[in-house]
Amino acid sequence: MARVIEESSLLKNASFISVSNLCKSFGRRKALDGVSFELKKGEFLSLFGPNGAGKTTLIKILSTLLLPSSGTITIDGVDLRKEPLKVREKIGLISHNSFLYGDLSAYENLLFYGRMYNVSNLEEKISEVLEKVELTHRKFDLVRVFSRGMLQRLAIARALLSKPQILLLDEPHSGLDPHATEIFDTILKDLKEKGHTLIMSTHNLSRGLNLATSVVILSEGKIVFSEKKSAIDLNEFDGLYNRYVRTYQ
Amino acid sequence: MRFFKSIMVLVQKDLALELRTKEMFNSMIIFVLLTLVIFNFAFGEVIETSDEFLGGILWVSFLFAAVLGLNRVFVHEKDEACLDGLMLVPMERSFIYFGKAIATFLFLSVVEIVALPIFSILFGVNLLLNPFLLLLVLLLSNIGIAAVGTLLSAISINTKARDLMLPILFFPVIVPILVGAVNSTRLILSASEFVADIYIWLRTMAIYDIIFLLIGFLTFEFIIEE
Amino acid sequence: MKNKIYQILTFCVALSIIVSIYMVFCYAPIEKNMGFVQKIFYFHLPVAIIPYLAFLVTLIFSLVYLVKRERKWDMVAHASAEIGLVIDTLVLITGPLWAKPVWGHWWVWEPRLTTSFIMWLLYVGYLMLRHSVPEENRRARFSAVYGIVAFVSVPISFMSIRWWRTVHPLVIKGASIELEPPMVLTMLVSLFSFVLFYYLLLSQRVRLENLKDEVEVIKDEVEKV
Repeated sequence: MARVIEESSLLKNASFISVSNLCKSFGRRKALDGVSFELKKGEFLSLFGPNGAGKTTLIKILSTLLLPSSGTITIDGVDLRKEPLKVREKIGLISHNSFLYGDLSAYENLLFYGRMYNVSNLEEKISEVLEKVELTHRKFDLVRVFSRGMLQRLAIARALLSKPQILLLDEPHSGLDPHATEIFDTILKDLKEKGHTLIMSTHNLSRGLNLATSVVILSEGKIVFSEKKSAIDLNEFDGLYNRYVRTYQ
Repeated sequence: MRFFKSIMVLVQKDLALELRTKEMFNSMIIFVLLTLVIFNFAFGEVIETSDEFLGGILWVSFLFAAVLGLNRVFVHEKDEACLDGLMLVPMERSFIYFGKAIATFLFLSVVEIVALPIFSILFGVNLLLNPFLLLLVLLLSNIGIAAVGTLLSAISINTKARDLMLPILFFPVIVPILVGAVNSTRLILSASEFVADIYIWLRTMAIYDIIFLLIGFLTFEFIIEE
Repeated sequence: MKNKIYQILTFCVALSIIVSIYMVFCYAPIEKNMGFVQKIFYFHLPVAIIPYLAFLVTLIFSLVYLVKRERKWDMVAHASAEIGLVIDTLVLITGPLWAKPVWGHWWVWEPRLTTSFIMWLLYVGYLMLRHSVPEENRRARFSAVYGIVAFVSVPISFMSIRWWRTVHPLVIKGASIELEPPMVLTMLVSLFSFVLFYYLLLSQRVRLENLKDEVEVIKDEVEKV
């Protein structure tokens, strides 16, 4: 009995997401060059970096949408390159694009994705997630008429439907109005508390820092800074960020 | 089992989208009718004196309309990167191909079945001579068009030339279907005594269908990956 | 070292073409039915077969590319398709040149010529596709898939058209060719020359593409500085 407890606590401290020497080239251009980091379960990684640093590329690779050129990625013990399908069962992605069909209603979109992901008690879950993102009153409206903020909220609802263990977010705050941002951050906090693992790339230093447990700064495809939040002086972070990131002339 | 369920959900989604917008169906059916009318003007008396042209006229009209429709197969998936959304689902990527091909097949079939009575009236053709054979010809042709067209549509939508690329890629490849469909239809509609010949055409089309469904299944993921 | 091989190859090709021409005009007898004009056959038939070889090479290397994903396979597939297309163009030119005196028409919709024309359209499509995709990786993948689709459709097209023409035979006046052994030999030599010529063109085209790549790399380095 004691041994079992020991092992499970070992597992708790083991890496949940492990990225080792990840490289990605597009033709001759190297988008990611030797990126390595580890995340434990339940952590919140905020990914900072200027445009073109490779944040989106990194997130796309983690989501299995892009194949890495080299390197290994292990997610909950599963090798991403060998078993991408298994990885997809565990993750959800929220990016600039909402993956939602404009000519279908919010309900129809969620019904579609729910069925594709084989979600049980689908009707209930749909009502649940719509409530979470405060879109219940727009359940049967066509997505085409949604504002950007509503679209992002519905995208979150879509991602949450399958209850993914890991949530990947690629600059999710862009284009959101304050109300939507509030709802969004509340959901993120809630997910964090419930033990989900999150990786979020963002330009918003304060927001990103607020939610993070770990911080990584990416520049020109390389990690230039990687620390636990507890080790960072929050007031100094602005200056630190500017120092680490080379500005393009 | 997962295969059938996933594909059914995909097809239902495409049907729901089409029922709501009716974009594909409307443009395709109008185009077929226009083409039939234009053919009548272009060939006039020749058609009245001979049944031999009917197969050709019908299938050229159907193929042109098909290209119009095929250009739109992935248009819903381009907005808001919905194709990425589909690629994130834990399923084989070839399911997306089959879902799209089946939906395309259904749209094509509906357009053709609606167009046939109108064709029959415009050209004084008796469709009831051998309706089951005619439907079989439609079935086999549409499978081929959908199989190849879906694959090529996925390619062409990702090129600079977009809409213009599809006919260039599609028409030379669809020749066997065109030849088979035209000849089968001709044999049926002209009440030819050689109607048994039709089985060779049907067989050729069936072989074509199987081969290209297989190629589509195997190569589709290479087209949509990034 | 490589240059030496290319020089020898070029020499061999030149030699074999000269031998071919000699054999066509001096060695092979004049054909009974069609006369002198039949001699274009020694040129037309090999030229008609080479595109099939070239496009088959494109198919094979397209498959290899999809599995291995290395640029060099895509290069060979592309080069072979280009050369195949050029030679197919020659087929479509020499065909009518033969058809007119023998059959009285410039163009006849007979199965082989028609299939050559469809093949021409397929591979013009292949090259147009390549032009329409700027990104290298995507271009290679798309071309590979289309390279497979295109070639597979050719035999089926040929069968369909031939069956159709059997049902509606062409009324062609003009005769068949009677072959004697010296003619067969001449044909084989001619065919060999053309295959060798194809191989030479292919290797040079691939070499050219490799040089282009090297230039791009150097360009990038210069831009960085």
